[in-house]
Amino acid sequence: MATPAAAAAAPAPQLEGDIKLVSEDAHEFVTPKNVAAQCKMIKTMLEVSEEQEFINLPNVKGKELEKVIEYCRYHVQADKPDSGVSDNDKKTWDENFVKVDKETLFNLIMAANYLDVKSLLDLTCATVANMLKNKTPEEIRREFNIKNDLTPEEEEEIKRESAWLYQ
Amino acid sequence: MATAAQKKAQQKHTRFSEVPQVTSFLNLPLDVVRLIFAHLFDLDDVIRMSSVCHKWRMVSREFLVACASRMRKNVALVTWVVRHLDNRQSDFFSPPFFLQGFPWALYLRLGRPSPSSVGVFLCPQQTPLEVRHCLVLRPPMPFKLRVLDPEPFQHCARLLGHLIRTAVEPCPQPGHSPEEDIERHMAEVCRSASVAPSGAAAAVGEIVKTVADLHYPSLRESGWATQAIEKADGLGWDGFITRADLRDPLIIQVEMRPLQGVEMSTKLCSTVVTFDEFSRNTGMRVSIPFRLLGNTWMVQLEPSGHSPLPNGEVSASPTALPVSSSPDTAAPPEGKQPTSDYIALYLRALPHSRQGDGGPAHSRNCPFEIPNIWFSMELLNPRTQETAGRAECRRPRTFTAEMHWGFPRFFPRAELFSKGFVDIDGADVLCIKVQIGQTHVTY
Repeated sequence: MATPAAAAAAPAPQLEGDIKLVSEDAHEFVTPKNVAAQCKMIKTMLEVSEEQEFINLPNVKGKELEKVIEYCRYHVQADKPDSGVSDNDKKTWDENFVKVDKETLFNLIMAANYLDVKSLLDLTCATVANMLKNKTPEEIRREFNIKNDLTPEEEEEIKRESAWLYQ
Repeated sequence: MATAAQKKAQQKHTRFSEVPQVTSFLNLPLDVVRLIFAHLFDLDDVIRMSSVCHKWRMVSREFLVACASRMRKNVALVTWVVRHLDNRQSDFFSPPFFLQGFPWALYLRLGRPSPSSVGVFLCPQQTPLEVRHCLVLRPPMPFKLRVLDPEPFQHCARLLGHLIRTAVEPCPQPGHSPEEDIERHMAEVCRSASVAPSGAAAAVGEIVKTVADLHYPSLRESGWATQAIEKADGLGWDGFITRADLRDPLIIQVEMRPLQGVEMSTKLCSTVVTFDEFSRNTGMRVSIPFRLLGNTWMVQLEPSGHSPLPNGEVSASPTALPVSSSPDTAAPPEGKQPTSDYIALYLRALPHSRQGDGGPAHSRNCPFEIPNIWFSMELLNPRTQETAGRAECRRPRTFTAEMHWGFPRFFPRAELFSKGFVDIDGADVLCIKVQIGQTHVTY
């Protein structure tokens, strides 16, 4: 079974040269195509049209795009057989990578989802899940800025619905 | 980072508006919420999530409802009959069928999960690479089922069934039991996320129910099969047949049904594109990527009359394509030429993968379905950003086409017409808001 990190180590596509990625807020990042292709969406676009010089990414802001590229770049290097980077090193790097504020984490999730970077999406979602553990609904709402749109009746219904689990 | 000059040059071609975003985790797409839930390993956590908000409640309910196996009447997704089960053969795959846009198959294996048993599993019809993604996205969980009292079925050997919501054993490895695979997978996910598993493993996946009925022809003729399935409704049951019970001839009938759910609409992509120096005669085309059902898609905006098919052909008659259901957008405005005075919006599938690179081999020559897509395209006033015209197809539509050898030769298009695009004060700047969404059923 592959770890999320290992999932990023999918065979690198035979892509040469650079591609310019343009974020929603018009920041541009010139990135090696084999790094950008870690994003499945970009890889697919590159396969369709290898001649294009830039790709607009209207749903990703520059800050997050930079992080995604950093993630992809690291894993492209680290996942090479001769990189000398151990799984533990990668795990530590991943842990540090997601030590960000919640807004950045949120945007990273959205970016990973949009760009289709499965391993990053998995990493960020697991991080959020870890933050949710053992918290009350109220604590979760407060921490993640979620409005409670449930009526008291619905909350009561929820308790009834899940009663069977405690039997 | 881009220089100011670069930014300006970029904006000259295409500008994307700033879409205000509120950093609330409420705004996470459903699939992402599901994925987060998939990383919760404690059932208590899942239950607590259901009290957070409506969206999270829905996802939690998917999980809980599946666990509780509150089966309701619905149309069977697949009915698969294996006749004359051969004891010497251990693996049986049903024909693929579609569930929420993905191809799946039922998988029956003798000797699983224990050497003396037979298991029925639901697995994605994917190549190993894709399966791995599925596993990562939707790790399976142990089933918490109530076992049906076998008493009414004592004449029917045993019932065979599993309530399975997700990929349990897509890539069976000899010598591994599904439970071991699940545990291993969970442990790896835990390690990667720096969390420790606690309590029951939990995950959220597709809500389906597999009802399997093992019976003999004579019993089938006497109506046992129907009775068994009806009995299974609303109960949820689990069980395995021992190998000793297998006889020849034997019929195993597996029927899987979706739970009834609530129709929801999810916005997949929304963006505003501004075209400077627009010229309808230059074949201008802008592609906007978005993701759907694990694939990357591209919406293309282009002047009608330029509707190249992937192999370079040009559609002879754009109006022959499926058009908007909206009467006011089904045809170009009066007095406008259908080939040059309006802009068409196409939905185009990018190839999921090419032959040989781990793509969905199963999809080759299989029908591929894109369920319930809706589009809207609005013309905005470039200065005020107010809506100046609208073309939309709000009625969800499902496209079905053929996949051929890894490269989809299928490019269903929804063509939308907007009124008066080229007549706005004679301006050559167009500002278009494009939205794509999907209507789907949730539980």
